[in-house]
Amino acid sequence: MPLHDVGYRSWGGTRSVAMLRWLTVATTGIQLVWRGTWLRRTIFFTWLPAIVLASGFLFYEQALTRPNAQQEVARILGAAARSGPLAELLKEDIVKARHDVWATLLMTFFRYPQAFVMVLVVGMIAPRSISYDLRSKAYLLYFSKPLTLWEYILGKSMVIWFYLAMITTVPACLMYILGILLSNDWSVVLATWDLPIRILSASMVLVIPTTALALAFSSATHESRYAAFAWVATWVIGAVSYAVLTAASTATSTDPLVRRMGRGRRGEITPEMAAITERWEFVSPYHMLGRVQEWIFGLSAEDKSITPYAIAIGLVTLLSLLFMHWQISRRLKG
Amino acid sequence: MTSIVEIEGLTKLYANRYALRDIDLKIPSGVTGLLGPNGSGKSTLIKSLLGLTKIQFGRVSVLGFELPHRLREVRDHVGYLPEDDCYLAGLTGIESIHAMAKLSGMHSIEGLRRSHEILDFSDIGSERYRNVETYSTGMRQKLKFAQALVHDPELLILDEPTTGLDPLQRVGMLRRIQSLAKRAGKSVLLSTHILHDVKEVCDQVVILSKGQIRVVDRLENLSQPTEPGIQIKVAERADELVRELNLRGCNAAIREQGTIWAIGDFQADCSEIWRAASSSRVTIMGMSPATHSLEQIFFDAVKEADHASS
Repeated sequence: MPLHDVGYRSWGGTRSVAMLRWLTVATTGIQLVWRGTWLRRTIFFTWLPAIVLASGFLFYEQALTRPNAQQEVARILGAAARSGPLAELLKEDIVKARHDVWATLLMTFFRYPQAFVMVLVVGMIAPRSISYDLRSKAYLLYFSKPLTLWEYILGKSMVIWFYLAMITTVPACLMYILGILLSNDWSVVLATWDLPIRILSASMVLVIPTTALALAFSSATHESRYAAFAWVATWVIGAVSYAVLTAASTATSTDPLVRRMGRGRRGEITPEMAAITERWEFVSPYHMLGRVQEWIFGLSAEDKSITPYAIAIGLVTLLSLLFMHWQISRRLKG
Repeated sequence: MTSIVEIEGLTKLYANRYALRDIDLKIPSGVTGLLGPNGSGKSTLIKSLLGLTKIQFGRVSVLGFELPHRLREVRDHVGYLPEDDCYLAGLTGIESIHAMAKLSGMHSIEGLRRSHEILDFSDIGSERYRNVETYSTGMRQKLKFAQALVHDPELLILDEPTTGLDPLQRVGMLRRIQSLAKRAGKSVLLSTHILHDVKEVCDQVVILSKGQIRVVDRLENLSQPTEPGIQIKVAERADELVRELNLRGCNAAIREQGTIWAIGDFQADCSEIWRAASSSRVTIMGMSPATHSLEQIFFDAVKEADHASS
């Protein structure tokens, strides 16, 4: 029974801008996803690594205020950095190394804990995103309204971007602000002004290709579990293949130092060892993304080109988007 | 009367098979029934009107907006109820309609108010606060109707709107369609298999078969036979009365079970029919001026299409 039936009434209000209708797809998706208890819990726990790394900022900035502790902190950080330009810089002048120390902390945040939780969070959101619409034939409703296929894809992508930004960009920016607040003078802003831009760029490199790939899986099937499986398998198979191929290459190397490092011993990374690890990075999306993020934070060696990695990531993104478009339009025609 | 839909030379091919073949059609405002057997091209025609499928040849204009260039305007002014069972998974009824209202360009609060108004009109009560996945088929049908109407379109394209509705709900749905056309001045394109629904609400009918238009006319014109005649209903032995009438020089034939058509001007004098009935001892149950039934028009159109293709 109707609650308050007044018959049919015409509507003569003004309509919103046509080009922003995709925002409805995005906001509806964001609200729907937020209802998941497990997702809310996961997002809460994904902030824990940020707290740990924030203590790194605290440790470093507090050390700078105590001249007698600086040498000891430089030694600890240098050991953590093993070899490379950061360790050298710390030996020279711990204050001048601030930019690189902060960049390393932020890079570590993106590269290790957040890359892992990204796989988890996207795996919880993306597989259902389009596959549910295919199963419930919601696309017939969406596309009978003034919404293009690309706008629909943008709206769906925005849902995942929002949650990924919540676990990467937002905590990273807060860590940066915390670093500023903990430092003893405002000159730190001048020394590190580029880091927020680098955070945004690193977020985009992480978020855009992964979202496109995950949604492409989602658009391929009515069953979200298959899409989730394909998503997780991509990362696991990539990482395992990389580990196996690298281990095999080090084991068969003629250099005894490389063989020793392949067996897990620590030591300075030789050019041959670096060449072996680089050789197999293309099989693992995780390593490819890491390579580009390293470059974004200004931490990759100068002689290393990221162009092949950027091209590979761009290609995956483009193919995923085209695949998604094709899958949805194919169903619309049917 | 102005045309709400104008189609010229529309051709749509699926893998070298014609779904629609060189269609020329003008649909005037009012309620139009779109009829045709399965696979006749009804859904393809509807999808072409909404720009959901690309056409190979021809010109399509809806409410004066040319497709595909003015697709947004078309979708802003057209409401579509798909035949398939479709819904936005995970949302409640009111959230679904609200989302559709916002997609059509309504601002959030206004969209919510309008969604409640339309759900009331569509006979969805407190069920609107339930998840749509728990809805019955009939409820989902009403919800699809509500989403098609929420943005106050000028043209409603309804693909099998009464499917899955119980008799009471079906009557309610047809009344709503009628009231939208009569009171709110909406044009409706009603695609259905249920001929009774068409008779009930439509002003004109389009019959499609094998991807081609077979019949386009107003219902009252279609029901008029080309020659004057009379329709005789008999209890039994219709064939004997037909034989007797034909012996007496009348042109008579069995039209349907228990119904005879006699061609000729019998309006003024039908004594010959009574005499034939008396001599053949057949009981006449009723007589009325001959009119074509929609069923007959439909069967004739489909048969003609089959004959032409063979």
